[in-house]
Amino acid sequence: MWQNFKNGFIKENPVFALFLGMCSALAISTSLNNAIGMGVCVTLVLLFSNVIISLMRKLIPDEIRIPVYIVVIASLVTIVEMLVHAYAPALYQSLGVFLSLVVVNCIILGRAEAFASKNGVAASAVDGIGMGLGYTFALILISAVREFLATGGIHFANPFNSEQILFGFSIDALKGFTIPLMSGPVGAFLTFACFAALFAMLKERAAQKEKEAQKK
Amino acid sequence: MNLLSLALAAILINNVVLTKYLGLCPFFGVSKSSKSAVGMGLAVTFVIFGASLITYFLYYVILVPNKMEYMRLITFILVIASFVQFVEMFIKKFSASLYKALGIYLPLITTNCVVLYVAQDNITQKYDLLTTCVNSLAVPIGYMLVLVLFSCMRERLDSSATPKSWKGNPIALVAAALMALAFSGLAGIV
Amino acid sequence: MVVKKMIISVLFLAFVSAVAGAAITFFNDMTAPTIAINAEREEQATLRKMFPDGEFAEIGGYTECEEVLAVYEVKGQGYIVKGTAVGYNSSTPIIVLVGFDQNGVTTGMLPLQQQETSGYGSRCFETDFSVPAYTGKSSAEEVDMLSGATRTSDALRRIMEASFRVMEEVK
Repeated sequence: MWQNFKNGFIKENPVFALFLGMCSALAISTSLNNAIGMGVCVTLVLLFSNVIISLMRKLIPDEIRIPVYIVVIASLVTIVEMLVHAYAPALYQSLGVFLSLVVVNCIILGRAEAFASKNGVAASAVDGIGMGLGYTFALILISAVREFLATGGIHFANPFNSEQILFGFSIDALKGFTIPLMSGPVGAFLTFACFAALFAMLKERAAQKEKEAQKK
Repeated sequence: MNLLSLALAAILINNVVLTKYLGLCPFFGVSKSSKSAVGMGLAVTFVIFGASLITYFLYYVILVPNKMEYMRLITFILVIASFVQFVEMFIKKFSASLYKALGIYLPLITTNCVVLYVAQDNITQKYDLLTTCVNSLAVPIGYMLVLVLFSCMRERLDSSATPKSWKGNPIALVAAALMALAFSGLAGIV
Repeated sequence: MVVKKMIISVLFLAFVSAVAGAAITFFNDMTAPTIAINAEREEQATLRKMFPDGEFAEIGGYTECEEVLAVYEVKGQGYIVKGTAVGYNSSTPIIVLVGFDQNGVTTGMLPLQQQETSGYGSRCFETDFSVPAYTGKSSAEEVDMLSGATRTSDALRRIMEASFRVMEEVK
């Protein structure tokens, strides 16, 4: 089970290794705030959808399983959206339409179909959290790079009260040398490309090591 | 904004792939050959146009009078999923050649965020019926344009020497970044 | 057999949808009041940025046009016009608040939403330009344009013209 959990981070990182959920990963990774907020929302939806679908897996008739998954996921997303709208309005504002587009995030439907429909509740819950955190981890990496290059600093504010900054720094020496392009689409694609290449390299290395170990 | 500038803006300037990052999963999956890019583009255009009109009427005829606006997301995604399924069945029955051309792309479209995005956008922007039609045609046309252009680029990329870890998606993403840069030069013409 | 299976499937889907609908309705009823309160508070807070100790009331009685989203009367102090226009970035329209005193002279301009090109159009909203350019003007002709940011300035000029027209009507 621990292995499942760990897989979500590097080897099967949903974003960098499996290229799932890219749309939202690129769109909202302009700031660390958005990345963490979105990551938490997706993790919650993923956890609950995995648990619910795993509970119902023996009841659902096979032909209509996809529509049932979609109904479950869509209602979870709607509920999360309402809660965020009510209790973290600033986050709701900056995530905008991408919060409701979590419905079509391939990670969630993919995990429901590939994992939760075949495994028990506890395993599905762990898988949901692992994958969700892997997604969050990827978002944080991209957004940290982008926010730093675009604004010369990184900030994380309390999502329930946007005035209160929990953590952040900015380097004054970089004023005038920031790259606003990084907060746009170009920066998103480039940063993502670099990370995807890095992860491919890490994977390659790990595979090679394994091979050598086998030879011995 | 008049309809022509709305359409131009949706195709070139606010392109769904290059500025809104939508529909990327099929974008990287299908854009390996230009032939499948055209097929996917046509299928997406058809589904978006149909689904947007259905959701538009559903929203204003059923959800708004009953004060059930908050059920929008779940209704829309169900409509899209069943519309895709229906279209697939219909094409399979009546035109085998069309099914051969578009069939394999149809199941992919349910999870294509562009469809849901356009359906929601028409509502949140408070478009009227005519604007909705124009918007739901222009957005997928922009999608198809980029998909086809990009597939040509990828055919060339596949045969070029790339460092091992950059092969496949990473280098395609770099190409997408350059394409986004080129398209951003068009901003402001409308 | 096939029919029976289909009926079960349809019933099952209907049941799941009903449960989902009930859950959504429950959460909607729970969160709707908070959302409404937040929206109200948010609006008051942005208006207070222009008149820190004002009392605000939305008013009508002007010819509606696409540039003007709302007009607020600030009790005993003046008016605020919430205006919008498309500048260089056609996907995100500019939204600004324009403050007026009781004689219809501007007291300032505050951007609420703008994604104009940074370093070009966005300079229109930097305070070292926007404070002198939008304060103490009594007609749209007096408002300065910014060279190198023509499209953004032009959008702002359209907002200002509409705001002054509205001010003439409500003052």
